[in-house]
Amino acid sequence: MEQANVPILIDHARHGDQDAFGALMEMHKNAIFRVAFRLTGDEASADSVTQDTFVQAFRSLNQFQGRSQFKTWLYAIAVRKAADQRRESIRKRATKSLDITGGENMHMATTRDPSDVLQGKEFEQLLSAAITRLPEDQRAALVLVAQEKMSYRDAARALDCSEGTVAWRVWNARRLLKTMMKDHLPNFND
Amino acid sequence: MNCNEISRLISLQLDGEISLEQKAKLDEHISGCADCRKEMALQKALMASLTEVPAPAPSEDLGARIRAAVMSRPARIERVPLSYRVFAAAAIVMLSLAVIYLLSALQNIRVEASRTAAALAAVQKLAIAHPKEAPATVPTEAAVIEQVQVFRAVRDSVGGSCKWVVTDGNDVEIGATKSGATTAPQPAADLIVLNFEYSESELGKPLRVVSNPQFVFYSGSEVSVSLKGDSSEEPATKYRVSAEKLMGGGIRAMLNFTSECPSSGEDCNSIMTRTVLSPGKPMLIGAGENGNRRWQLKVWGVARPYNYRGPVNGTNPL
Repeated sequence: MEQANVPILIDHARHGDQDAFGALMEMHKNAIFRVAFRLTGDEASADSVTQDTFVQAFRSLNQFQGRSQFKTWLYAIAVRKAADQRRESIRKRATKSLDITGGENMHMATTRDPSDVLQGKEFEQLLSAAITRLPEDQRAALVLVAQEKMSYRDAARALDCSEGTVAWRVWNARRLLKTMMKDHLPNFND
Repeated sequence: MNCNEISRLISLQLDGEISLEQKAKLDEHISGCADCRKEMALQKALMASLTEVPAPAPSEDLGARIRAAVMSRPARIERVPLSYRVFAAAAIVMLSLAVIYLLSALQNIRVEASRTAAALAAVQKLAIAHPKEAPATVPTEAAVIEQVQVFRAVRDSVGGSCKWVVTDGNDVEIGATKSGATTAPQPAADLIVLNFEYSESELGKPLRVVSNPQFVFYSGSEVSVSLKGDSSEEPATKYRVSAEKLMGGGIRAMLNFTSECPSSGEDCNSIMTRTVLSPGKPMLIGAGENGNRRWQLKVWGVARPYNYRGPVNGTNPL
């Protein structure tokens, strides 16, 4: 369905038209699931976050004022729901926290020879795991900007912060990722 | 610029957020700094990998489950900001701690509530369970059970003089016997559950639900209540309702309804009617046009025993 229909669908959905909301949901479901997966790191959590996002969106539709794109607004809800999900998982899990608040001692555990540069799927898996280990706010900023290709302005709206804060979080996330992955990255020399 | 500052410019460059001036500084520094050239190449590779990390597709039935989750609650759309609802819920809880005044039985009656945890919980639950949302015309059986539970909870909390409970978003009104006399709960007594849906709009535009109060009261008794609008632009509404469950299962109802014109504050739209409701079937009981505005009032009702906790043997009474 064309993007131009979104405002019309929103207006209908606000008046209780569940079919209109269903159409909005179908348009954005995959993107929200993708973001949710990247924020939570597992499919079950992503599934739950996606459902919660659209239920909340349906209930809060009158709060969407059109100052940002509808998709950006959905992302904002998804980021909050993913954070809730993560806090809930941590509460339930009686294990050491995987949250790392920064620093240089964030090596990814590996049994491989650290000089090996990983390729393909194995690297992607390690990178995905590393992303989920980033501090929550940096992870969200990195996912929205670097993976979902949002502008700093849209990401700032979704994260309810300034563009400068988005830039700072993305920069820090990149530094942390580099530290976590440093044994598996190519050695770029002149 | 030092290398740390350059690494920030590299990040801006990768995100397409770098200004021309910053780009010039970046290029100048990179041309003379091997470490930063290496950093640039490394971050570019990392960026490419980030983009290529696949995400699984959602399960095929996710869309259907989302629809079911949305429809499992009535089509309620929040009409006030969350902060306002939280404040309103807190205000209602505070009200239950403060003195709730006993007024005339024919006017809005607020019963003095004891400062019990049960009273707090009942009133708070009312506020949280019924956020200000646009309703479906036909509530689910779960919603009916909840309304009956709320009535019992309020009655248990404020005493046996409670005759009716009306909720409208975050507002809760409680009615008591004129004399304040209390009665023991009668488990077999019938409660009438009525949901009203009052809608208005300008001519030519879709109707918008303005208020959706929910009434729970003993069969054969009367409710008289005034409900304020959400804002100065939304009308206050007055209801005077009596209803009783008939032997054949229908609900005989007498209704006086008035809405206030927001601009003048005077009564404008009104209905006076007697009707018999088919349980579980919404009925349009009034509609009209007033100047360039049109309006309508729907009602939906069922009867349930006082101690109702859900359908027996899975049979849905609706």
